[in-house]
Amino acid sequence: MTEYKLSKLTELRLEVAKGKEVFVSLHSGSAEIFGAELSLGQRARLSGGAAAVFTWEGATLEVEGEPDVAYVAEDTPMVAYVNAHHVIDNLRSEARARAPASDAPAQGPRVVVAGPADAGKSTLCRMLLNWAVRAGGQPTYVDLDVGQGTVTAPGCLAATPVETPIDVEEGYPVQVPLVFYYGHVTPSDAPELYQYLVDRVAGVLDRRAEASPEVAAAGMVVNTLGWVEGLGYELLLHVVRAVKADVLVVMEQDRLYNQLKSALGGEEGSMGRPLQVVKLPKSGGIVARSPQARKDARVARAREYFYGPTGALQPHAQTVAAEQLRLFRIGGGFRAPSSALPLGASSKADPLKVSPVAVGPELTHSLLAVSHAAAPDQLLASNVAGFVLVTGVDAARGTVTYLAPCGGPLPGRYLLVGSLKAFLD
Amino acid sequence: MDSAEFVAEYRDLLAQLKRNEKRDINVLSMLAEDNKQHAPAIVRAIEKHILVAPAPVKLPALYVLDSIVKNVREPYKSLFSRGLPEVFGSVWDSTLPDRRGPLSRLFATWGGVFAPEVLERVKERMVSAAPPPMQQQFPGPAPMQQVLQLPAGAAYGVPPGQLTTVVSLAPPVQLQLGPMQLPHYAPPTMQFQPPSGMLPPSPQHGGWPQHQHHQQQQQQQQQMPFDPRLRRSRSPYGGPEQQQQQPLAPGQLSSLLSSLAQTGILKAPAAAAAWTDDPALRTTELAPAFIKEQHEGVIAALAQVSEQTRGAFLDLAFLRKQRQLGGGALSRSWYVTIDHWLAGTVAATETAQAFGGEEEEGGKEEEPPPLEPEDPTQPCCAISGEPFEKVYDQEREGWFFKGARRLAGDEAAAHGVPEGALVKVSALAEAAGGPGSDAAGGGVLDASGLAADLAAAAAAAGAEGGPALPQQQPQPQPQLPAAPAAEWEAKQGAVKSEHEAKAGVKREADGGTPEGKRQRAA
Repeated sequence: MTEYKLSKLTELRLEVAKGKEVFVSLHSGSAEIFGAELSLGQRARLSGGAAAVFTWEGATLEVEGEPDVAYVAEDTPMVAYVNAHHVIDNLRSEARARAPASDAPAQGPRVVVAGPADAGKSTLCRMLLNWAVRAGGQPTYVDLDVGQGTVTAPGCLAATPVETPIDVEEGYPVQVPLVFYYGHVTPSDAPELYQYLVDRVAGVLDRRAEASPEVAAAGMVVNTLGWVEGLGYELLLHVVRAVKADVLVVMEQDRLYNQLKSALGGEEGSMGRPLQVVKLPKSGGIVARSPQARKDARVARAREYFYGPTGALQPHAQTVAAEQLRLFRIGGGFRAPSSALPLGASSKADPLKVSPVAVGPELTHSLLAVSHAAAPDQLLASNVAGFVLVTGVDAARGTVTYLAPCGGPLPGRYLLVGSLKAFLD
Repeated sequence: MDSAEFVAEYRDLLAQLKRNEKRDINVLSMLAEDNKQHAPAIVRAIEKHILVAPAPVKLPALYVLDSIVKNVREPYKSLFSRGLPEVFGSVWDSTLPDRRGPLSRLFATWGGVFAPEVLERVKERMVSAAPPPMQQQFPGPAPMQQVLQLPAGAAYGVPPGQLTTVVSLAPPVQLQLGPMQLPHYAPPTMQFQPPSGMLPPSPQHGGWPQHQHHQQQQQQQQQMPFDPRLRRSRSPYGGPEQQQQQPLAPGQLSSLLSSLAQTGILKAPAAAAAWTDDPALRTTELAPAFIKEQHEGVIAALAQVSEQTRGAFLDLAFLRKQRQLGGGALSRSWYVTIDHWLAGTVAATETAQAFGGEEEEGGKEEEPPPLEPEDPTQPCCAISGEPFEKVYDQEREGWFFKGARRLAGDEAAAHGVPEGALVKVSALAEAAGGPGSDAAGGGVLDASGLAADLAAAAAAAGAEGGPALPQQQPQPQPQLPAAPAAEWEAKQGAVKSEHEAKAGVKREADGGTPEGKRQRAA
């Protein structure tokens, strides 16, 4: 048990190895983890990852357990972050003030956070959301980073309203996300599908904002891909335009900042103001993750979907006859078994084509999405009800065993197949 | 005995303190006196205990704190001062408004014990408190609902985004105390003896409406753990020490309470003015120069808004935990369709916002609940036997029974009650149409915008799924925690049953559904 006394505007950085647990409690003063306040006496559990406990006015913290790394950092970018939040919140106030005067709900700031991998994009998103919620707003979080999955399983585009500060242990509210299944962890696998789904999410969010002045005024915080070169950069431009961003935050990179500023400068956002591009420094506490660590994190997210962050959820295993499952894949099939296609056919395939997939042993460990589509031609545009993980395919008996988040029949007849696999033990 | 060992033992003793037992509280207090060298650890143990303990055992532990600061005083007073707002607030939040009387009285004894600025922070915390968890509203009748009665002229400034409609600062008008075992600990208050009943005299401004029902009150008072005689005879600590405390004059409580209300009104605009006056901070431009520089006003603004929303979030976090603990093994539900998502998330946001007190123009016309003037001889419904809920009507300046009606003539005869009997309108509806026939009416009876909104939202979400949701609400409503999240679960339940209905299967185990979980948790 170690006690740390933090002076104002400093943070305690902790890194906890996978499978280990560390508890942080606040003894005096005030402190927050990624913008979510710790309450006095609360024992916040951290496991597998890095976290920073920041204090605006000084705090005494107690750390139980053995973090791999623990040090107090005085040099943090928090002042710049909170200033950005303050301006964004002023934009919200402006929208609320305008609301009664205009016919359509006055839009609040739509903030897109861009930057390379390991620049702290999702952490900044989390802080901006937490601070906005503490200021009384209910912004919408939109996660377009298919590689990570902060709201649901990886390989998805997701949006969720944020009503309370994001729990330190449990992460984003997961009861009610809007989820579209992309099915891959990098957008280069199916860039057209990615773009299509970005437009689709943006369209639903527009409808949501039109329905309520408060929803509109609270705005959005949008997390993006960590891939900002070449095609990744093009997709980022697409995202900024699709969501009609009012603020584009660029983490760290001068080059990307200048590139985006000149490409998008003067374009109008949802509020009818010119897009503001702002560069924010990256935190020194960021731990770069290896490709393997990213892969592990994805599997961990898939596991969390079924078992919950603390293992408190109970998924249900079910076995069904293979012919009951109606599996589809979106995209030309360049990922389909080559035997299924004539030579060279993949290049001509429609990237948004929906095609049936036969059940076979190669599906084992695949993460399948259960679509809300009522017919196969709606699969592209429909959101998903959740996921099942194929745990076994018995070709002899013609059965498939899968793990579903809860019991009972599946909420939809059609399942989407992607390239996501997860080996959960 | 070394520190860790002692504190562990102290913590055990605290954990055993489940009721207001004077003897045990004194023991804990004396232990603290004899072990001042462990004071910081003792303070931490008590604070932690109060913060994390289940609602019913918080108050006894708060009495331990009270006993220590009043009898042992330093170093405990200083040590407790820091966390007092959060600690007291945690007890306040988890206590039903109609049970908060002992807390208000305890707080009233702290003048002169804690520094004024500490008390000010506690007051702020009380004012910004959210309804306690068990009191969260849900579509359908919620009989325990107690509405704050503010005297005419007093208005509440409730911070935006806060899940709060009412904060009961008034001493309770209905104390329902179970059989008590004496002796109980009573916060020593040599200074202040309430004149008659617990309520201070009602001045023209800012005072609390004089309760018309003194007799009943005094009876209640007899049963309460607040009895100075017991304290004198049993307390190992004499009065003299307490007499040194700054006296709180009779009537001071009323000014204290009214200043509480005023804090609620004045706080937001006054404090906000401090930083919004600085035009530089009102910028909507993300200029690099502004971003780089440290602005005290920006940090202060965040701290200030957080202060106002914190209580509601703590309640929701508490609820979430409770659901998790109470629900046994849970499973993740399926996500809803786009249309349900749109309907639900918009409703949830608007509900929270409307609930938060932002003045929204063009709000729905809410039918006010029927009010009957209070009748002390008929405290309960003549049909259902449920106690009436009393509210203070600002316009008519009097106490009324909410949702009540006086039956006369044929109507009384039809229901088999005497002429002029007071009944609950919900009981009438029930008698007429059978349970559940008037679920929507029940929502209106409870008369809060939230209940109606939630009912509407639930109806919208459940429309395709049939009337599953309203029907599952029994008429004498268990107190369901209904935060937006809970509402969501409910809605998802409705959606789920829709899916299952489509698939033509019966739900296997009701306990596994969100509704089932929620009910179990409740």
